[in-house]
Amino acid sequence: MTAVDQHSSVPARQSRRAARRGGGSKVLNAVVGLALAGGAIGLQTLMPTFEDLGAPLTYTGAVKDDVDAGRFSARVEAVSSARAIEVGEKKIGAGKDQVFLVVQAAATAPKEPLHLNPAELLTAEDKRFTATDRIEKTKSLAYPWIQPGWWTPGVFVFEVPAAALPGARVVFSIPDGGLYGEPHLPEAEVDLGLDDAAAQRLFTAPKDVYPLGDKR
Amino acid sequence: MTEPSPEDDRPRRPILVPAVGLVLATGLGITALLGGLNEAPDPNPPALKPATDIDQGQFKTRFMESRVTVVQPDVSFEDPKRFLEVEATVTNEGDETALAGSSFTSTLLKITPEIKPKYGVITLVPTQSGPSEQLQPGVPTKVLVRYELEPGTKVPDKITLDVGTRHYATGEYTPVYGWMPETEEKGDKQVPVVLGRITLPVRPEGS
Repeated sequence: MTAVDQHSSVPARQSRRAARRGGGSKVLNAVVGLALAGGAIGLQTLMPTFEDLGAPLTYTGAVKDDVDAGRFSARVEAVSSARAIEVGEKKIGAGKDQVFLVVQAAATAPKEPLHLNPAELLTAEDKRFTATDRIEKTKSLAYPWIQPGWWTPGVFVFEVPAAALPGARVVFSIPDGGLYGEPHLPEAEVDLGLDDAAAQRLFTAPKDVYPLGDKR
Repeated sequence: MTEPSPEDDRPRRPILVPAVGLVLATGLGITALLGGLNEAPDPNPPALKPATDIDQGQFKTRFMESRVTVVQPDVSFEDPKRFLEVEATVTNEGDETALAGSSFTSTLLKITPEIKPKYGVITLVPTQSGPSEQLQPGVPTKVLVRYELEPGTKVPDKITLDVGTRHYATGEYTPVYGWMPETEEKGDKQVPVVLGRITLPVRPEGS
């Protein structure tokens, strides 16, 4: 029985294979092949750009939250605005149609001491304003070592036009290793919770002078 | 029977195809040698006007004027320094804060007559509280570019600047991204593209 079955099934299989090699299945194979190739090419377009690949890992939070970004934690204590900043004896006025946004913040690190970069103000339109260099870095939170064990307080001062304020976020970041580019650096993004009214208030009614440094 | 007689057809066919091929190849070769089908670059870049907006990609720039400035030294035993100063109003069209020196001044490709300051070209954003170097996004900012003049140098009546442009590289195929100077291939080298030339009269010292 079995011998007969095998004998009869062999030519049947052969003929099926022969049929598969026929014209119709060739077209089908070509279509499948093209679809696979096309799919592979299509997938390439989904590949992230190097800019996206190099983008930092962002941890978000709100004002007064401890935002843990892994290598450091940051917290925004308060936000205010001023027409001028007083540093020592010098009074530095904001430019035309601009205001100083003063972000009081604090930071700590879980393990290794580190420095923060000058913070950035990320606006609702995704524009990034680096903290102003008109206030010396030594007066900002970018200067002291951020140590494990306690929160180091400090300020970041931004000089911005009115349009930058509504929906603004502050981004705290750390510099990379130096010799080699480090992928996926952490950053802490704190939403300042400024709606249009609050932003308007900050811009139209700033403090005259914000004293900064030893006098405080 | 169905075969055509070889004596009639053989000479025609082999000549036409190679002849056309040869003509095409020669034409292509000559075109390639002459620099391809790209439009030949204009040897004289267009003239740009002072006090009008110039689109430099990363920046929207108005060149206002050029003058001689004398800076008094901080200490009394030094001589005052003379600079040829170019004033421009620059708006950063990018999304991030840019540094005036490394990004804006690098688009001023050449100054004619040539001035090569010993300590490099100085760029500053004057503010009421001292110089800054930031160009914040979307904020029109006054920028001063200073070329130090050696003592005894004759001040030119006018200067011409070759103005370049910058574009944003998204890093789609290369690991390089961010604002880059626009360059083109010339020979084997990448040279910056000259967007145009601007000529500014130089206001002499003390006027």
